[in-house]
Amino acid sequence: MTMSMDELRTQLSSIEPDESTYAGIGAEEVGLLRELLDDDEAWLAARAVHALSRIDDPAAREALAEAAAQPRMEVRVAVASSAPNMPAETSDEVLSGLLADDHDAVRKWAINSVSERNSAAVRNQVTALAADEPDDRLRSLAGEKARDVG
Amino acid sequence: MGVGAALFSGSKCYFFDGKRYVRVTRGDTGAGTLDAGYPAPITRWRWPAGFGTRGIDAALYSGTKTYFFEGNRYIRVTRGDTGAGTLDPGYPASISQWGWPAGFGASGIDAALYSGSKTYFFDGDRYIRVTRDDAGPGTVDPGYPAPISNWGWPAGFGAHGIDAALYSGSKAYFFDGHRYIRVTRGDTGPGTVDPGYPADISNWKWPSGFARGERVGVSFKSLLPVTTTIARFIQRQYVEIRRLYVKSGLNVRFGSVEDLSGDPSLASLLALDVGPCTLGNPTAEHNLLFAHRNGVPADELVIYIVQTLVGGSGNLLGCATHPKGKPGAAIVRSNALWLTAHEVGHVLGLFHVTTSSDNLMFPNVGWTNLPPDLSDSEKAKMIASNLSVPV
Repeated sequence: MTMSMDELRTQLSSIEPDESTYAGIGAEEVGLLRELLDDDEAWLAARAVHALSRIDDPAAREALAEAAAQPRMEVRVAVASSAPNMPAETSDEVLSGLLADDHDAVRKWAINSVSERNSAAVRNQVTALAADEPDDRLRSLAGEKARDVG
Repeated sequence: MGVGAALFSGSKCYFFDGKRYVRVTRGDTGAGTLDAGYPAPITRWRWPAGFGTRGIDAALYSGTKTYFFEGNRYIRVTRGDTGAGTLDPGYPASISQWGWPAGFGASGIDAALYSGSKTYFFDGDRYIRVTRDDAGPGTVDPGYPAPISNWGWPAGFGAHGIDAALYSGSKAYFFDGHRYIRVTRGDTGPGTVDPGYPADISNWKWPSGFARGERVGVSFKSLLPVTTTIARFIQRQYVEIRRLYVKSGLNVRFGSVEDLSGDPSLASLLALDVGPCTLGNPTAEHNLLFAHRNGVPADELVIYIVQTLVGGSGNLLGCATHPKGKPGAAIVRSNALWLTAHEVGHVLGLFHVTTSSDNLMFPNVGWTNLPPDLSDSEKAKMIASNLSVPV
């Protein structure tokens, strides 16, 4: 049964979420989750991203692609860090943009999320960051990741 | 710690400390004499079920009426100088019925002060002055809320809020943790702090253990620029943890606020990797961030404010994982008023309570029957923590 917005907000309001936080949230809740992406509470918008990343549904994937361009850094970090939950094609789509994000923290989480299943183009972006990333810590992180994912 | 509330009542004064209170016979000044049979349990007031069972935040003498405040509710009682009196019909009522300016006292107040034709209410680092009679909300005077700094108290005293205020004829007393001041004043204005104050509340000679106890220190360090918004967030978090903990026998000392946003080497930590967020297992980023203690004593906590916390199964509102010897927690800005109180609870040894959403340690910000509760065993555990130090 579809959740109400109040029910969804309550369920997503764990201080330290675990997988039970997302239990029972499915394709029927994608519309409400999309609303939450614009919630005043940035942490809740980010939580909605993590919920969307666990839903195998075209509308959820579309919402995630849009969230990757959200002005709020918390939301983009959520997209970057939840990319491993997404289908490879969606993961490639969002990570290709987030690896070039202006914010160090977003690039950090995008680098973290790249794996061997990602496209060669995405993995090459990591290799490029290993050489060009201005932040020392991220350049080192990208180097390690580039070695891991070939 | 200190007192939770103080009440002028003619020839008597009442002081409240969590679930206990004392009654004192006294004049305008001095400690007076403790009446026989005190401390007594707060249940003697026979307040309505669920009200004030864990203690109150404030009490207000108002002629033939007495008001008691707990969280976002209050009651009005008709009574004389002594005794519990009679609860007026329609109470408990929502604190919103006072019609205070937006945001002021919405989750509760720290203290209330009768002052003749004026009444003062204190909420964190702000206060309002109200013109009123014995009953009713009266009218908030123009220019309020105002900063508590207007009172001109001695440096460091009450800067972030007070625990209690006591009308006492030509004198007014204000309480902040283990210290208090006495002020000579009329109905309005700050008056003059009497010489020799602040003084220690041990001067009141209350029975052993009453309003005396432990204290925990909390400082804040922010990776976000400390704008007015962040400063208000910090203040509210502090007000709520202090208000909640003082009723549990633990005073919270406000240490300092540091803006770490200017350090470019910390920029990527704005989205802090907290891993599984389990106590005793800090991540490399925990170690990096929590190394920035900058003068905070080893037995005090640092609350780091970041933009987002990533780990476990998504993003977190708070995480109490910290490196050994660097007690603290990381939180994000949110409307969750008791977030810092929850995370400090973890640092002091408390675990999640999944069986009651009334409890502070409920793992969801959807707390019910506000303010959240702490059980007696939780209070004992917090006080037994190495980070709780005797005052």
